[in-house]
Amino acid sequence: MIDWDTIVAQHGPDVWRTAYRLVSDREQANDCYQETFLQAVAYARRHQVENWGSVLKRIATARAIDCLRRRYRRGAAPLAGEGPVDRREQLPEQPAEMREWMDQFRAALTQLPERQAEAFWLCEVELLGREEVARRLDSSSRQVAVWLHRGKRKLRKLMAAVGIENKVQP
Amino acid sequence: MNDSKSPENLDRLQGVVDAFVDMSVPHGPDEAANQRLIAALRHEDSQLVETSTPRKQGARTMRRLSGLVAAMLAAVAIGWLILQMSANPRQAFAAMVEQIQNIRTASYVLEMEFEGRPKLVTKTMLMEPNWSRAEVKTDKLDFVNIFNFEESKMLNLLRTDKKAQLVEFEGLPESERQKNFMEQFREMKKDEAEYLGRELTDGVSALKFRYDDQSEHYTLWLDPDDNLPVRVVMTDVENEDSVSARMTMTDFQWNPELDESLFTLEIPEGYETLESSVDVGDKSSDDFVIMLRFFVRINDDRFPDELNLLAMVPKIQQALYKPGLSEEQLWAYSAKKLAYALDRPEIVDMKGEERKSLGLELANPFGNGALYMETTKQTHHWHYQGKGVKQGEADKIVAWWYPKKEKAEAGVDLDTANVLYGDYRIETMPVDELPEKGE
Repeated sequence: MIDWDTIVAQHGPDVWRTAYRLVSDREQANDCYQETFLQAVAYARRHQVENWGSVLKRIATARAIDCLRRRYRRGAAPLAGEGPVDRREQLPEQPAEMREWMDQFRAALTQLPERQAEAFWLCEVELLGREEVARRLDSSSRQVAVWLHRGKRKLRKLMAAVGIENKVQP
Repeated sequence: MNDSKSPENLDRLQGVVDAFVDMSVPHGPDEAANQRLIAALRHEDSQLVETSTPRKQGARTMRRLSGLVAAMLAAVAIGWLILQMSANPRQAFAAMVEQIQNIRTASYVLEMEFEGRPKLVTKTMLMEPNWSRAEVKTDKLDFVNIFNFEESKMLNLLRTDKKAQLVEFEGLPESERQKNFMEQFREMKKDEAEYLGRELTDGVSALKFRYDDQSEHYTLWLDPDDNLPVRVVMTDVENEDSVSARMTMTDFQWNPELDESLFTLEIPEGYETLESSVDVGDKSSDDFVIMLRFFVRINDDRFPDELNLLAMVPKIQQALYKPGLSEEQLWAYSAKKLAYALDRPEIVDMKGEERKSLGLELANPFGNGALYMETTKQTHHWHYQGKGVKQGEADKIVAWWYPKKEKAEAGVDLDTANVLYGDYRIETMPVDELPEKGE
């Protein structure tokens, strides 16, 4: 039987951090947090887990991006301050403009293919090495490099398009 | 300025990434919440250990049935399919359709929910190519239904009262025989499922799909490890707010070892036998009319808006059920309605044994009528326009049907239609004299 006490104690804060940074909503982050650990039970049934930290970060990232996809698919306007975005906890150290860009980024991330989005987040924000990300995504580090390149290109394009839209709106 | 390579955009993306890296977050779940989570994880862990066993048994069964070479080929195929799935979740659905081809036995729990009624839960087992077995066990009911698809025969065992009913479906065209759900899955169009993202279901981070058939609407959750369903929900209508009939399949085991003695049409010793047959030849239009009249009378003497069995069942259940009544009061309430709907006043005075027999007795004309209607819809040009028609309106056409050329046997008259009127009479009419739809 797996020692869940130790795993939750050691990795819970990182899982929470990953989920919260992505969804920026306490309730949804809490759902992602629980789902991550429950999914880890099923994962551990099928795999020998050597690095719980990166396994849990990968699952948390996938769960949180799914949550964002649902949020934006339901028609939440990511930039208008409506719907679920209203539930963001306004963290004081982020200027308003940066918070707006972060929301643009969240919306743009949901437009990327599943593993491209995960690879980008895990490498660039969670700062996992490409080899480790490749292992977590059952791929090669070369493929991860390709995903990162394509992901960055598309994110810039999407965020640029949103920037233009914002400027022309009255 | 819409240049994604402009310095402003390059900086903006990097700036946002840096902001995420440095972002401070509020405190996460407290100690008590974590303890509850840990308890759930331990429970889930123990559950998974228990449920993992049948999967291993399933794999052994497959080897035994198919031989080593077949197992190796299947393993290669599954590996390929998983790779495909990793490339694109949409392909997982196509892979599921392919995967089902390799399944020979399955068991699952089926929950049937009709609006306003308690759930009916059955344990169902399938043994390809011909058998299904469904078991319902509650405090008051112990019922088994065994179906042989090849012979179109069905055995109902009311184990509580040791009563058996063998039903033979006669005259059913080969192309229209009953299908088990695995056959339905195999016939799904691989490119027509909509991918809805990942969702945690039954301990699996599953790939969720939506698939709409002509008359049924499916939501499927596939295990990305093997592309097989972990949960399937089927509803009568697409709009979730209007669903009145829902069937949920869970607890799937694929290729489990099933005892062949569970699949037999032999009536067990000591059972009282009620033999019957359902003939879907021309005579069955009589039973179709009996069934339709029942629908109309239970629907306040109005023809239903749509003649759809899945939609009608909950309406019947609603009509016969009233919450808050004792068992006897409920019987008195529903017996009155049944007596009127079936034109059998004696039903009101029926006692225990007679009531139980009534259910089996009614299965005959209703099964027959339903089969007649469903097969006719497939083999004939079928049109129903009963919406708004009241019982007895002899001048109002309710439905008509005439044979499809491609499905008709040689010599069948393709130019004459059967026409059903509001007083339940059926007359024939030349096809070119049929009114425009809706007239």
